[in-house]
Amino acid sequence: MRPDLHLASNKLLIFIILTAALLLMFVLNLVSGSLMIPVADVFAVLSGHAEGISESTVTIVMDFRFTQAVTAAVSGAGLAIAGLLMQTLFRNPLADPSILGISSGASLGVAILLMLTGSATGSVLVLSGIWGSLGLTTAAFLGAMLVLLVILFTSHRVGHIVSLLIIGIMISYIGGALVGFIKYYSQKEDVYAFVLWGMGSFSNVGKSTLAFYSFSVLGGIAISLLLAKPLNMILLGERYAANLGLSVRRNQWIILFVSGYLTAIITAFAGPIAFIGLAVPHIARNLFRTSEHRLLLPTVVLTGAILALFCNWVARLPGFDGNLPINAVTALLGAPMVIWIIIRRRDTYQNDT
Amino acid sequence: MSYIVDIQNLEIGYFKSGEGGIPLLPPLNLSLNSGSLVGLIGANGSGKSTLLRTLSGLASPLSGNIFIQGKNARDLTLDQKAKSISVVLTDTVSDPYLRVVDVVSMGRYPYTGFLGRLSPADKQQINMGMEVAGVSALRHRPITQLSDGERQKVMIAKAIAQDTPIILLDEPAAFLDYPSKIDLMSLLVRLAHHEKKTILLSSHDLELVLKSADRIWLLGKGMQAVEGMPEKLVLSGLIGSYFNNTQLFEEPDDLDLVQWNSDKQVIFVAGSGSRAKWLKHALVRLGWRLGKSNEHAQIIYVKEIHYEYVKSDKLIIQTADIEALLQALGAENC
Repeated sequence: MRPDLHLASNKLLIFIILTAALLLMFVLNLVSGSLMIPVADVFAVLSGHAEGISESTVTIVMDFRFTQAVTAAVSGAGLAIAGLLMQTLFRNPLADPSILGISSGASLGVAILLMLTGSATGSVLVLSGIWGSLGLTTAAFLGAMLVLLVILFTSHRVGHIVSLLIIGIMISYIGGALVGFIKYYSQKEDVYAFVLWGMGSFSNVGKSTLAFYSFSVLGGIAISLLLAKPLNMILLGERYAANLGLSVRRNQWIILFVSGYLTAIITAFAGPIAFIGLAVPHIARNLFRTSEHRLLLPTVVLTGAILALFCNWVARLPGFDGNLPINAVTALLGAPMVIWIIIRRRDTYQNDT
Repeated sequence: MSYIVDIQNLEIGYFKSGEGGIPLLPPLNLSLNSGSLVGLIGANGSGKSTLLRTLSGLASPLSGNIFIQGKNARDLTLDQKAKSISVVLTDTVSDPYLRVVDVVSMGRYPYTGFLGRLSPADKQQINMGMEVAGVSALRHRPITQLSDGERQKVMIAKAIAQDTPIILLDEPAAFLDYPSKIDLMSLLVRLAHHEKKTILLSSHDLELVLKSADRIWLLGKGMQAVEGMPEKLVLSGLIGSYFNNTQLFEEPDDLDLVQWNSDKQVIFVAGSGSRAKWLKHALVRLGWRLGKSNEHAQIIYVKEIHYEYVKSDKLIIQTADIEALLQALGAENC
């Protein structure tokens, strides 16, 4: 019993550290930016004792930074979960939320919207005001859901799950090609707007939509937390899973749906954020050296939120003049992390055939 | 006598779009006794894997019925099947973070609730599975770092944890070196004879299966399946006819025989030739020790056509049928 006990206290310690890191990152996001706000002021604003603090500070902390930090945390957690589900479903460490072409569907939706409004009005309507951002979100969500529906429909018609992976990648190419056509025939301003959207941002979610967005993503995450048992069985392979009493097709469908839904909603609001979905599951597995999903799922939620907050913090560091593109930061920070893990755990990745 | 698995007019094969079911073999009528180790042999492409997949419910039969513990397999739920039949497949588990104990623990999933939480009884069964399969010492090792033989034993430990009366194994001895093969088969013999598991395994290794299995199912492409005692099938020449190459195996030498257990007494076989050799083969397989001289109390004389079994100078049976002889021997010594 002793080693198990030791292990249990280790697990608890890691969870405490992760929670502390999450809180620290969250506060850092509120403090830091083009204007540094003292920690004491931030806490005063958060606890509702804002007497003597300037109006603009309250607005910056609550309306901008708090909203953005929550968006980052929720998006990071959701993308990381979507990535874990894809990696387990396809039993492929390279799978990520974009692998089924869902984010490419979102891109296509946005590109079509930009082109239509651009040619209709001759101006870059979508960039301005609340209708613009709502339009972008809707277009991206519709595009993503369309691809998800195609994938879910196809999933019943393919013999093996790997075929679905190939179909997803092909859909990505088709989406990319269509986007290429649209870009070619679009005006410069529209293309620039599209490029901006494609870099991802946690600042698109406004104060008014924050609650809706957060609950939509947290709902998907909550469902995924209930999938630990089927996910574990799928690690053994479809046939072993079936022999253990798993209704394989139905569970694959549920996993596809949850992962696709999370990717669609997050991409719609934050743009195609790369890398978090790929990197975080690797980091989480390495933390506990386990593939047990009852442990992995909550770890991935915490780590995803931490990494997204960290990237958002780096992107808004003073000197970067507002916002660095979040996609550049996630890859720049995430890639070396994964390389480091793989080299450090060389022994684990051996004998893998 | 009711069988634990009873196959009636079962057609196995695959479905081809536009043409429907393509059967691999004539309809099968076979059955398994509880606590027996049965070897499924046949040339490549004779349908061994398909039969195992069909029996475990991973593939659909084209027609016919499978009865598992008296119930038609069509009427069993996924959950009931998971508690009746466990499988050891050729699929490799390749996740580098799965440890031995994780894999074995999944054998308990049919018994756990929605989240897969393990009860103390589940944990006991998991430990028992690893103990019996001899992989307790490997429990914290990643499954990807094990040898092929160790991996097979881990999957068998998972099957034991799954606590099913029936275990089906697809080519468990493939890729193993000789000592690992013997190690694996002695585990399976023990599971069948001591834990009363019903075990059906397919194998390319004819010699190994003949040495260990209680019964043989013989499949050949497009041929009627044959069932019987290993030595009897060899002596009747049937095995040779199911493989293209008749010189597939040599007659067993006394030194090659593997004693899986030696819970029975000493017996002396008087005679020589092919029939004597295969008789010794069967006796050793069944746990007898071979005596060196006719001073022992029990002797079997191998004559030109028949066998004579003599116990304490009294003739017990005279028969030409090796199966009847061994039955009499068993009845006399139980």
